[in-house]
Amino acid sequence: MHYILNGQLGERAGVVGKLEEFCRANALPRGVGNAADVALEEHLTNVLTYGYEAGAPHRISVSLKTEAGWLCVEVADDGKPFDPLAVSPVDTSLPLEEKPIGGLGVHLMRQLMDELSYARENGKNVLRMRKRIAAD
Amino acid sequence: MNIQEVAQGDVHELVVSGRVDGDGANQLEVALLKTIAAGAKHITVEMSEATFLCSAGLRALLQYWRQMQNKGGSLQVSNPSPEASTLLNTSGFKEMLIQRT
Repeated sequence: MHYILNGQLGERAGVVGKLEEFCRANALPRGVGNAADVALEEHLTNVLTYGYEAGAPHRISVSLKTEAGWLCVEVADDGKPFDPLAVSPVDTSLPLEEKPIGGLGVHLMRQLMDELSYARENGKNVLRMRKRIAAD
Repeated sequence: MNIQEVAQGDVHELVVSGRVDGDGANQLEVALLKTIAAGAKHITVEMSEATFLCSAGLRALLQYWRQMQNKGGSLQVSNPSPEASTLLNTSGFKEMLIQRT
């Protein structure tokens, strides 16, 4: 499954719709679908917020596939170089009084997906995420 | 996303259903501000029908949890859906949860 975001209206909802369709077609457990849903939401928000100047055109491709018991998600964007895996981890053990507000996006991606890798390839940021397909 | 509000005196419940994504978190924040302006001291965010939660929603919850705490009130989350529950637990937000029978 491939989906391109290039500035069309409702493209974020389009990603969610495609993912739901893919999960249904492949009978993926709810938790696996949710992990990918959250990871995509966080990553696309970061890419669109930090990867491009306001109003600049973007082209981001999202691909989904299953492979030998894994759900594989790949996101490639033509924005500024940005390695989400270089973001420092957050300390979730801090009590609510002391937690920093924000910065949880990449943490959630790491926690919910099993494997993440980043590469700068042909002028694009490519993030590959994998989640083992296991029952809830 | 949809938010329904039930108020009894200064105890307010916000029943959130659907996706608490970036836009949803903004809606939640508007609803929380409105509730606080209406005099709520104790706020419960009911999330049994919240099918999606992400860092934007967590940020809104934490910000208003702290605000209510600082003025001697409270903000709690009740009955989170499996999705919301996973996110709250993964982020160390368990303190915010209440269990109801």
